[in-house]
Amino acid sequence: MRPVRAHFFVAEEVGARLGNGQVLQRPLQGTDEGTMNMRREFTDRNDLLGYLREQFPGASGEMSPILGGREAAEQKLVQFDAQRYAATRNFLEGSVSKLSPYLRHGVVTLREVWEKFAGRRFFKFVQELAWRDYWQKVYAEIGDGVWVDRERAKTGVTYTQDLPLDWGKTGLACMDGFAAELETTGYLHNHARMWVAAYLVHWRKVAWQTGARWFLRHLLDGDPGSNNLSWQWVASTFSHKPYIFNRSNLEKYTGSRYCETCARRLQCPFDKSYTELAAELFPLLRER
Amino acid sequence: MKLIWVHADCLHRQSPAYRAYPNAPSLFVWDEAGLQRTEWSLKRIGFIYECLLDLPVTIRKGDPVEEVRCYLRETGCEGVVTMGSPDPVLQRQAVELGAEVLAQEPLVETQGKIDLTRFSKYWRKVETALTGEDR
Repeated sequence: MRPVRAHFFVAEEVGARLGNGQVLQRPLQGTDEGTMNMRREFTDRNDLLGYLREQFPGASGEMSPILGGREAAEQKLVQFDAQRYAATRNFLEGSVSKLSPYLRHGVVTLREVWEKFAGRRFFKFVQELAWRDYWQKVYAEIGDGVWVDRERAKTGVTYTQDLPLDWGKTGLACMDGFAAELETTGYLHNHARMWVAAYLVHWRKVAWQTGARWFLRHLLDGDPGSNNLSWQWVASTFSHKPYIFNRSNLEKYTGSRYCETCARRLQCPFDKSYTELAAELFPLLRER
Repeated sequence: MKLIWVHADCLHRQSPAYRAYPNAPSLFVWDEAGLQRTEWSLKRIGFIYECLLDLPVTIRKGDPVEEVRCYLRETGCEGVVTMGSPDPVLQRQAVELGAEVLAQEPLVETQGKIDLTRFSKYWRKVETALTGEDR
């Protein structure tokens, strides 16, 4: 595993050589000289993980396989096949940039990325950059309002505040797989985010805020602007109608990878037409 | 001399704050109350920590406003500069610190107020600037 690089402020934290050849070991998390500087030098990611566990005992889980830092962001920029983006981006195996965690924390800026892919040739990708800019602008305007319904929900449904008790163990290979992937890696393909959000809100009747909080705990790119407003888009509190999907849609874009081994493949709650699903999920709307 | 207060919305070595004050000391503070509130997993903390190791920044944890004030005294700096953010918590903290807030270079320059009720309205305003007119 690649060692974590540390360029700065190393000597003052790990020790200073005295004139007589002795090594002065200063505490790594020093209270000397009245400071509480945190460590900047680690032998590898395990060393960093151990330190973080000690420093942040309330935080659970492991490190993500996704590396932080500018070098990692630049690698993603180089590896991204923007030519294939428009045609393949909705497929789990499609070409997506995976730049979102770096954009979220300003390690690279939208402007820098746009300058590399400006022009109509990359229309779809540029539009996605604009989506992020748009969410940030709305967030700047409404602040904590991102936690409140922007509009009335167009579903006629009453929601519960808790994640389902079987969450992560529903027996649905797709949903359990997405939950595990998010909690392990801190990343989910955008299409998977939409399916998970739609399942929780429309099938399980969970308030979108509950799902949004769960995403923010885990997503490396999670920010209340893009995240919450996307959940609101799915929930129909920031769109004209609720977003739903069916099995045919999920199978197409996942290459059937979940359905083939799913324990509930013969009782799949998604294996219906959109008309049937809308009638089942939003019965009150039909009566209006 | 100013102190650069780095927060998790802008972990860029060439941020306007680092460019404007290239010799200024900088500080990042893990907001312990904020972490308790959001329950961020260790993955998120680890990712940001790795990003921080790219920056010439001192890292601490606690209450950001208190820690920045404390570091101001230690370094003898006379004011705080930070990057703008849509996050209301960061905005309140910047106000408490009386910080100079610098704006990130925008994705696109826009004139006047934009209707943000739907993406399509925003897109109509920025499409030409972002994608060119070579249809």
